[in-house]
Amino acid sequence: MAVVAPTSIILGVGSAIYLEEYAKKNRMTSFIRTNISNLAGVPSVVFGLLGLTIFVRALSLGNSVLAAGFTMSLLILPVIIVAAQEAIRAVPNELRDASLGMGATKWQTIVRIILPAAIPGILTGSILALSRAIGETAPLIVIGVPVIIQFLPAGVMDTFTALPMQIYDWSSRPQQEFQAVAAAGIIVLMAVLLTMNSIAALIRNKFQKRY
Amino acid sequence: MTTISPIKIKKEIQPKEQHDIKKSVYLTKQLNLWYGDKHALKNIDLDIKEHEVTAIIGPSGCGKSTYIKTLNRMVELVPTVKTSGEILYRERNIFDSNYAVEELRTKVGMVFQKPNPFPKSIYDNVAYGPRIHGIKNKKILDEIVEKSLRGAAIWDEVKDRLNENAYSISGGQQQRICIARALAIEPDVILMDEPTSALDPISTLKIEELVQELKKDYSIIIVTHNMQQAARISDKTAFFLNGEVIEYDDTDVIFSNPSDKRTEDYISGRFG
Repeated sequence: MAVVAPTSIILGVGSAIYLEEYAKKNRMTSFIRTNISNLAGVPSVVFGLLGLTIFVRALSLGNSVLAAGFTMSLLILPVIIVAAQEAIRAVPNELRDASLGMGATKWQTIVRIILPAAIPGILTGSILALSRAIGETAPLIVIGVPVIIQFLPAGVMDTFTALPMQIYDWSSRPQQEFQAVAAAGIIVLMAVLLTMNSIAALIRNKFQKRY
Repeated sequence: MTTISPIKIKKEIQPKEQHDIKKSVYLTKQLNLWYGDKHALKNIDLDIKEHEVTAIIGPSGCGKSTYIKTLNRMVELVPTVKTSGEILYRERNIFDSNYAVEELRTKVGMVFQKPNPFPKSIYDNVAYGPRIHGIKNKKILDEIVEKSLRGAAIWDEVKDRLNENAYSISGGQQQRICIARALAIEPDVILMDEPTSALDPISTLKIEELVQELKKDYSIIIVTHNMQQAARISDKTAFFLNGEVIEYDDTDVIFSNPSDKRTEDYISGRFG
């Protein structure tokens, strides 16, 4: 999470700003736009394979937190970009005109007017995307994350596992104790997911209809 | 429509000689503008003087909004726009490649058709311009905000609620906040693109009174659909039709004794 959130939000919002505010509207950019939406629908296993090739093998990060984090970021990046694009597009053009009309540069307009107005939408989309990443296991299995670990990872280069995988492993063991642990794990996972989704809903409601 | 008596015309025409001494703020020479293939402005020649209210009238789609947006180069936000000819602002061509568009827009404030305050507090709205130009000192900002709000004749109405969101006040007040916001960067010219078309009559009246006040310190160019408004508040009027300037003269002359048949038809409401 500590890796996924910053990587995907910074890259995602950056791409959305570029696509909406700077890129010329031509066939190339509309091709890119369409394909970002397509990427959002690609099965997560495929992203796992990509992560395995690039991060684990080519950049030799191994099956570490970092490699998995980057893979997860790739997975949710399209969702974040699309959400951020929508949010930026929803900022009325009148606000852009007003800011530019006072001699503000494009960058000042983006930082001071457009992003503040778009932030609720961006946050909502990002949180929903992140809560999807928490539940994902397929890409992690592909990049070779061990199914279960018995100790806490110490840093970003350590090996680790994901809660859903841990739960799967625990619940398939015959011993009674593991059943209880699995149930606890499920509750933790669900609590985190529900919290994140309700934060997203709260932000959306709070900032709705500001202009 | 206000009928202008002959005596009044005489009185108004007399200071005409003084008008001619006034310096030009905007001198447009052979301006042409295309949106893609559409020829939107054709050979515009206009000489706009300082400390006057210049009204631009004409039917929808005649290019009047396009023209006013060309004056601060906002029109270039439309990607397919091409221009030729020149517009001299204080004797400098605004299309010069070394004329930074931000510099031009700092001197030329703009008020838009629909009130468009930022979704921020009233204070932050007015302080936006000074802030982007690097003023951080709270005291100076306070002074600018007060001065601008007074200038826009809205200080008394909002002085106790400067921290409220600008969307919490009425449309007419919002538009005056937008005028205050434009004043805060101490412009030289104020462009107004149908500033009252979204407002009720009383708010409109307030804005019109304000324009008369502002004229002392600023040059104002106003696009309006409302001919009575042009007659009431402007010194000069330009009549646009299909991208051309049909007639440009003192407002009294345009409304009492237009030299072109089309102007007469338009102001008497026969078309448009």
